[in-house]
Amino acid sequence: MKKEPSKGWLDFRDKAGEQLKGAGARAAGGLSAGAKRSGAWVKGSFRVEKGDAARLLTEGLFFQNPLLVLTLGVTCALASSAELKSAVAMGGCTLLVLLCSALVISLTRNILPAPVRRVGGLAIVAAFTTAVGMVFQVLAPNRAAELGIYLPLIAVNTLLLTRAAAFDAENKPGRALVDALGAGVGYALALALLGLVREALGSGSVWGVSLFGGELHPAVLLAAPCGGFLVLGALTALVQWLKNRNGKGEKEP
Amino acid sequence: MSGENIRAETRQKPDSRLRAAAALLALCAVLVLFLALVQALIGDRVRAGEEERWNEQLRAVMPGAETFSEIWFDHERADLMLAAFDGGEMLGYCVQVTTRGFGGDMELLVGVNLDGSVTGVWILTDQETPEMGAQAREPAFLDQFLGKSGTIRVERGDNAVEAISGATVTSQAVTDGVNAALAAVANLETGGGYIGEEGTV
Repeated sequence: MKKEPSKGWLDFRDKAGEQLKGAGARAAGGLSAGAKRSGAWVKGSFRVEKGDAARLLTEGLFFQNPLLVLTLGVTCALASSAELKSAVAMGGCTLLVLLCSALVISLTRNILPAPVRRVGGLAIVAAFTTAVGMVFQVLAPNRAAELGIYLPLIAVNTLLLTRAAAFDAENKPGRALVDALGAGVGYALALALLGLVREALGSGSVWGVSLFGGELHPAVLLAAPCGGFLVLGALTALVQWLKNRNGKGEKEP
Repeated sequence: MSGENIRAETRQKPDSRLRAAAALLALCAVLVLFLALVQALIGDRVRAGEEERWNEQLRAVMPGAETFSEIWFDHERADLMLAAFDGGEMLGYCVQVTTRGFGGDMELLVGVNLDGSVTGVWILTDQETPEMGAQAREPAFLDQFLGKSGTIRVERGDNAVEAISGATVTSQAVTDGVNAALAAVANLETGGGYIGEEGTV
């Protein structure tokens, strides 16, 4: 026989219903307010002044080029620039790792306590290097085998380390991404130039295609690491000359 | 007063260190999850690609072979030895050996057929100088080994190969490696059995 619900239960049921509805409305209000606040936060974090962005880009690409002016990431550069194809591959992978790690480090800069930021940055760079390395191995297994151990060494590329430790940890994601784009593309282009010169003069070919039908006997030294240093030095000098020629010579620190 | 301050200070330090450690742990946990996700998504393709490359290299040193199986071998003579088959017919062996080159260790893959002669040589890893010892990878040098057997020499004597000009150490190293592979196969056959059941010689 069905028991009649007691009055106490009915009261409780109605009150609970009201409270839940109220909570629901508050939650919905809270969600929409939260969504608005997140939207504002996203916009604020990723906004970069046009002038600021232009300056970051031109500095990364040329005036403060990581490879040719700041001498960052030299190990990876020398190891991979004997051939143009390898240089482009290394530059591309480094750019990708730089973009990803810059984004993540700048997004988490306020979440991680100060003592942890540098080590955390290193861990983040290493994680992205592993991921990008795996993807690259699937896309271009032969090139990945050519690069061998130097692909994982992107994790200790000084360009990435300095950006992770300093710039990205203190700037908003927008600025960090623009800087990463400028520096990464600048590094990749410089690396490609290095690879072009080394392959053309050191192996007599460009992108694997033999120049002058193999008639020209190449300067073999340039294909070896010490020759790579020589070319790097020459390119660095060239960039310095270009920078100073318009009287724009800054006092180097 | 001072007692309270001291207590406050000592209470702060371990707390912030704990926070830092916890944050680092959490970050690493997130990164590990991220990498696990990447691994789950493309790990199979990476491994399949590596296997495909390895099989290509094996087939390159033993033309005509389709499948390969592990066999017993003397681990002091070679790093790896596989028996090469075409269908049900055994063609020979693929032997991986390590030899000391100019810049460091080199790993070679040598194909040896049942007559005891070389069917192919492939350099897996090397640390030789580019444009000098690295030329050892080129067919012009490695093809010299095809069909040779016994003990191969460099430059002098019969059964010799030409060294790469300017890279005698590398040339000798490759030759030594091929000889080691041939010796490993010869030792196998005098030992009495190639494809035995598990554990038999």
